[in-house]
Amino acid sequence: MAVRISNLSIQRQLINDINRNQKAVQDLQYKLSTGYNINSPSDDPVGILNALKLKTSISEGRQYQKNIDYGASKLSATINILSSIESLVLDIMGIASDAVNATSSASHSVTAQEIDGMLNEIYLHANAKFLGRYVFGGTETTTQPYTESIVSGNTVLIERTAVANSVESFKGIDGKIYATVAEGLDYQINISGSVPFVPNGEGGVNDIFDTLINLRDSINNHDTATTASLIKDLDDIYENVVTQTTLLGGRLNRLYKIKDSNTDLGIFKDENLSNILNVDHVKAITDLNYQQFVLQMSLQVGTKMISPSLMDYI
Amino acid sequence: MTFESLYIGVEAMRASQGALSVVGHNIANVNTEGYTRQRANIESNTPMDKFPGQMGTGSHVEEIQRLTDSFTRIQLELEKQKEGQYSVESDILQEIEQVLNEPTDSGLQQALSEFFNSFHTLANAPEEFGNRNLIIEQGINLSSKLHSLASQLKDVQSQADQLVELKVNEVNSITARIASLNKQISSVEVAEGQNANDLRDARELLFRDLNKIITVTSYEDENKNLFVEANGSVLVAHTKSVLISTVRDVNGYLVPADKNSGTEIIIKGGEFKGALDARDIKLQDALDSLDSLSKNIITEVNRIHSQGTSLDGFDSITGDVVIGEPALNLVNSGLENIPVNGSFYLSAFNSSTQSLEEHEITVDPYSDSMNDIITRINTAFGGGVGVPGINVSASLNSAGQLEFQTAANYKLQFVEASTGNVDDSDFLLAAGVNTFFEGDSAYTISVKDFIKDNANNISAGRSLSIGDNSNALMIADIATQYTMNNNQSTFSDYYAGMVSEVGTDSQVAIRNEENQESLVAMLEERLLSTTGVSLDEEGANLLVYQRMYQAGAKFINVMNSVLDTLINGLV
Repeated sequence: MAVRISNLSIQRQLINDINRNQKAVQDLQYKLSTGYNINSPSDDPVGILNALKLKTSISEGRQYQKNIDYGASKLSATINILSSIESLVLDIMGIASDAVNATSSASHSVTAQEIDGMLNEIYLHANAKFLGRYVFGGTETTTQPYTESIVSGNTVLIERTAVANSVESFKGIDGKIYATVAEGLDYQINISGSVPFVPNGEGGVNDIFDTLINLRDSINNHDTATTASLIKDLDDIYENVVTQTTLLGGRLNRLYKIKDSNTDLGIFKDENLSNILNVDHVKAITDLNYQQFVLQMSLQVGTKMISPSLMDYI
Repeated sequence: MTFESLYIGVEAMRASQGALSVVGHNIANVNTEGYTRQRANIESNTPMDKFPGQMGTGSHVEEIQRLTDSFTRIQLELEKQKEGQYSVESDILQEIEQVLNEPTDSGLQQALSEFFNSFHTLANAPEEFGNRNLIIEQGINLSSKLHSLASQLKDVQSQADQLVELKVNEVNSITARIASLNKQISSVEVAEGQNANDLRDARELLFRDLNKIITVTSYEDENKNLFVEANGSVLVAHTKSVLISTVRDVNGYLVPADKNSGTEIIIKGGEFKGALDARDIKLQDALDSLDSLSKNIITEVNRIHSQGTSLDGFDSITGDVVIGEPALNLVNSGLENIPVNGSFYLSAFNSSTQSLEEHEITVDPYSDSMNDIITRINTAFGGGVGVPGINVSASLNSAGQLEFQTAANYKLQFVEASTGNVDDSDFLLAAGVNTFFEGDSAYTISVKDFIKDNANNISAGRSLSIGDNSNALMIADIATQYTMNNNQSTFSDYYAGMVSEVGTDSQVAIRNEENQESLVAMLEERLLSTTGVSLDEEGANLLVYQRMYQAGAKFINVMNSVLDTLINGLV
């Protein structure tokens, strides 16, 4: 069959073609103006699935980093305090040893006062706060963990509060505080409040306050034998504090490592998301130029096709 | 014989004039939608028997014929049905995409992340009141996001309903016009025996438009009336159209129906099919997914939340679940969440005397009724059947909700303070006690007033200790748990899957629409190649008939001079 070409059909075809070309130009312009390759789910249903999952995972990752930052600063603060206590204990051991060798009762009393001052410092450290919360209070973050009571003139006695439910694992001075630092990984970001000071319970072995009070009093009382044995006890206490500091230091290091790997993972995910979502500008602009050229061609050809007919010549 | 030849000239002029009118009519309709080009068929007149043989008597326009291509036209009618279906379907699916508003930073995905992240923030400092308020804000944000998604999807559904209504009116208007055209065509073709070319064009165009809306079948009877049926429902018979209207189907959606009988018309194609499919299947799926997501968020968050402890403990607390049948065992008492075998714990702490009374309450959902559990609680706290416990008492309020009351100075918590044990029976979840969300769908989810009115009621810990953040961590962790799709995907995965599914459906619909449009365009092209007016062709015909007219006139002139010779020359 010979093909008849009617005027309506020329016109329709032309309009269809121009519309199609115009839509292609518009799509590319939209992509370039939003900067996104995917502007609605139907643009790339698989891409959007991955993009949404990645977005959630990136958002979680950022939260983990915040949690780590908070945990790390809390651990650093704890480590700093423990280091100060460490050096205080070391100093006390030094001056106490000197006192054992000294014979002057006046110097004993001075040493005792000096130790008393340092004991007070340790006591203050035990009640230190970080961001307004007691560092060694366990989960009882708003209750002062160690309290003192002054018994007589210049004698300072330190006692610990009886925290109502300290037996519970989640409760009281030994309550553990965790932070989620990676998916499924909860990390302890505090230290049991009793461990550096009263590892074996109140009045038990290595009770730092009892030991120092006794040391102070024995020096004051020129009781050289007791002083010597207490200095030996102080050795263990020192060991305990150092061990705790080291443990926390290790934990902090590990936390930084997790943070680094989270960061790497985050960068990888960001890149991945950007690959899926963001438009490739070079390609899009090249495509746009090409499409604009095609559109212009179709418009020019159109004006040439529409005008001539036999009617022009009769 | 003498003057007859003059008439041959007249006939030629008359025939060419007729043909010229047809050419003019074609030219006038070069842009008319649905116009079929016409042709004047010129035939020679009946000859006269004469010596030496038959003598021609000129020509006349025998008929004005429409040049159509019925085969392509019928194909086009069929493809129009699919075009209508796909275009409405893709419109509606694209609207769903717009509602979901992904990928942006204001979609549901973001709200979900922020909600669960806010529990991490609380975990980092459970003592901070601001962190508790943040959770309430994020909880409200998440639920209002779900509300607005659900209501926007419902809007799209009612738009589809409106479309059905609109298209029903369109069908009625088209069928009425077809019926009236039937009458005119019948009178022209049957009574006057002529071709109703332009009327047929109009009827065919209307029938094609009707096919775009609804799948119809038709036949023409001996009176040239077009009978139209939609899957057994008569739309046009003889010169009458049958009105259709809408009825609500079992799901409350509008469907086309016979106006008189109210019987639903079964829809096989066309825009109706597109609207009904998108509305009843795709939109409903999206809404169902959203509901199921919301329901799971409510249940999972509530479960963990009910196991934790508030900051201060409770003087009294009322569950939000109405216990339908408190005397029947818990499995049959009409609960949304059914408890499992296990225990929950009650701790009453007196802050002034620092004394603690705690009890384990066992739950066996197959043998215990709500009344049994209430008695068990009261008995544990020193009461009995119908006798309230001393420090803590339980009862059903007038609305049928579980209620706990404490004695003066006592604060109630739902953990065993001395061991850290928490509810493992889902009993508190089932009764809606110490829960975070209320509602059971995307439409109804909301943060409970009990939380909104007092941020301290958010369960951050699992002990009576202020710095305990363990429960907040567990709630935050729900976001990474596989809680959906038979424990195969997280909330976020599930939502991403839903968005992706809508995207796939929409992509397929858009492609179908595009393909169908080009198929229809191709068929229209093919039809136009027969029926369309070509100005070149008409120009040529114009010249042909102009010459014919001129020649006819010339012939008369010649015959006139011949007669002149005869009449004047001989005398």
